[in-house]
Amino acid sequence: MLELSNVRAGYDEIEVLHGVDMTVGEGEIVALIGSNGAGKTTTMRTICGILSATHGTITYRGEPIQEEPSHEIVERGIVQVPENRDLFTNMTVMDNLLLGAQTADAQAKRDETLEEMLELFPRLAERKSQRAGTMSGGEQQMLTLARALMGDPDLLILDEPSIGLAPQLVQEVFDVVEEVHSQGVTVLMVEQNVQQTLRLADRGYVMENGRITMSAPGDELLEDDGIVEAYLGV
Amino acid sequence: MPQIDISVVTFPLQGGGLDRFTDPLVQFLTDIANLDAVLLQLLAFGLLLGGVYALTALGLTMIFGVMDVINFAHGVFLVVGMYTVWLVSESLGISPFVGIPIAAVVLFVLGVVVHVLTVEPILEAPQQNQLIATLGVLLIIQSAIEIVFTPDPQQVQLSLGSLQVGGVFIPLGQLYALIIALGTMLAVRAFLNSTDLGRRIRGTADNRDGARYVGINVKRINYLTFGIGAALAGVAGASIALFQRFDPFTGETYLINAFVIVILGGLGSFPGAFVGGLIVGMIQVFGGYYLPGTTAQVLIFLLFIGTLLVKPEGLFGGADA
Ligand SMILES: Nc1ncnc2c1ncn2[C@@H]1O[C@H](COP(=O)(O)OP(=O)(O)OP(=O)(O)O)[C@@H](O)[C@H]1O
Ligand SMILES: [Mg+2]
Repeated sequence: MLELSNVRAGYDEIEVLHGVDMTVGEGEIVALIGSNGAGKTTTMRTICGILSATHGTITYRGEPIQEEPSHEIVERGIVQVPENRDLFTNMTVMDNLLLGAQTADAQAKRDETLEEMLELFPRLAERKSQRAGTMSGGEQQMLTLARALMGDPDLLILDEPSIGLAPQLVQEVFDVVEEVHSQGVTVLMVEQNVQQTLRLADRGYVMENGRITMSAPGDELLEDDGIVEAYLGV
Repeated sequence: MPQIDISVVTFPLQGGGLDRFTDPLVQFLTDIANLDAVLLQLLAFGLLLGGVYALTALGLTMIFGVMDVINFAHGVFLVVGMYTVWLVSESLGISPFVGIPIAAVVLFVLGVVVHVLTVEPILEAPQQNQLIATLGVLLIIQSAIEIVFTPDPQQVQLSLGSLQVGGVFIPLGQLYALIIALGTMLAVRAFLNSTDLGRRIRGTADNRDGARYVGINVKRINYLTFGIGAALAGVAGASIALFQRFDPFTGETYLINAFVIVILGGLGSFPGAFVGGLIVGMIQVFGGYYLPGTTAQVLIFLLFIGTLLVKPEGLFGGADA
């Protein structure tokens, strides 16, 4: 479904990704793990056209998308929960949710999806008219997830969706991801909760210094001594 | 007679003596103490002018809110609006009031063209680049108007007369301009708050990256916002032409006051533009009446500098689009 081939990207003169290769198959949950600063977020931003690749190709359903602006990529069905949330902080929770539905498809079922989201996240329903920036960190993270789902994604990209959440909420996020996946959405996620993520994921990639150094089914990575040592802290 | 502390008035004086400034203050306070009828008249003038000022600032603050661009061309956009109603009413014999929406359309198109040609290519460059580019646009269009229509002042032929309400004199030209300004501001507010496009514009102003992540075509929002901002300048300029003579350079004073209003109200703030407009209008009218010469304009600049020093985020801190 999504294929990165020899992708290089970075910021101004600094190259962060030195040729990343990665694939995500239709219906999969794929995890990307790696230490801080490895380039995971940079990879996610490059896929969504927030950053542009300087080399290599990104294809989605067989078509190259690396030259496309972000809104065309969303139009294709790729939606991201960004690491730093990027909520519309001065706008209401409701505005944020409605802004999540931009494509014609998403707008056609906007009311329906909205209802689902408010059911899925009752906290947001209670706070519809609160300004997003005044919500708690956990609530904001939920809102970011709900906003992305309003976009009716075929491929949902999550960059540390459970960051800063209490264990109970982390579980809730994973539950939502599983639920969404069961409805046919393909998932690519970056997570610090490596164990939990790899258990959920069909496959996992390990990134170090802007390169993929390992790729294997999730459970195999979980049993790999190197991974266990590096990322699970045991 | 109330006792006045002269330390509150600290203008540098060249001859003429301090009483040139203390006398007006004494006069002002006396008028307040006596509830003099002139105060009501001045308030009315301040409101009439302030409402129009607010509209001149609205497009400027919107463009800044969405793109962080300080659009110097705004001043000449006002002037194009003035010449549009004038031209439409002089040469086509159409009512200046019909000319106002025409000015909005003309300026929308001009705004989009200016944006695509000069602002968009350098949008990611440091802010001073766009400032200089739009200043260039101002000079080019200003000169073009001067060449085509001569630098002579023009006037829309309209004899609207005036109203007399409880001893307060209200020129109808200014009253209509105020009504148009308030109506336009309410319409823009409704547009921003309750349409999908308005919400997208607010979202882009709030968080550009957020807008890109959800799939808003930010480029499109940029040029639409520039067009709408210019159209607002067109309506403002056209309304000003209802009560004032103008020439190719009239926009400069309005531009400067619009900047003061935008800074005072908070860059990108909608209510800020409104309140700022009223404050600057009041200062201009009251200052013009009580203080000698152009002291009122000096007061406005002091307010500008004071705002930047004391509360640089402005009264309304740029929360709204
Ligand atoms: N805006 C930026 N400008 C310059 N360098 C950046 C920028 N953002 C990230 N970097 C650099 O790029 C490298 C990779 O960063 P990235 O955010 O992709 O890492 P990450 O794998 O997501 O890390 P983390 O687990 O901490 O989120 C880091 O060295 C970082 O300093
Ligand atoms: Mg990251």
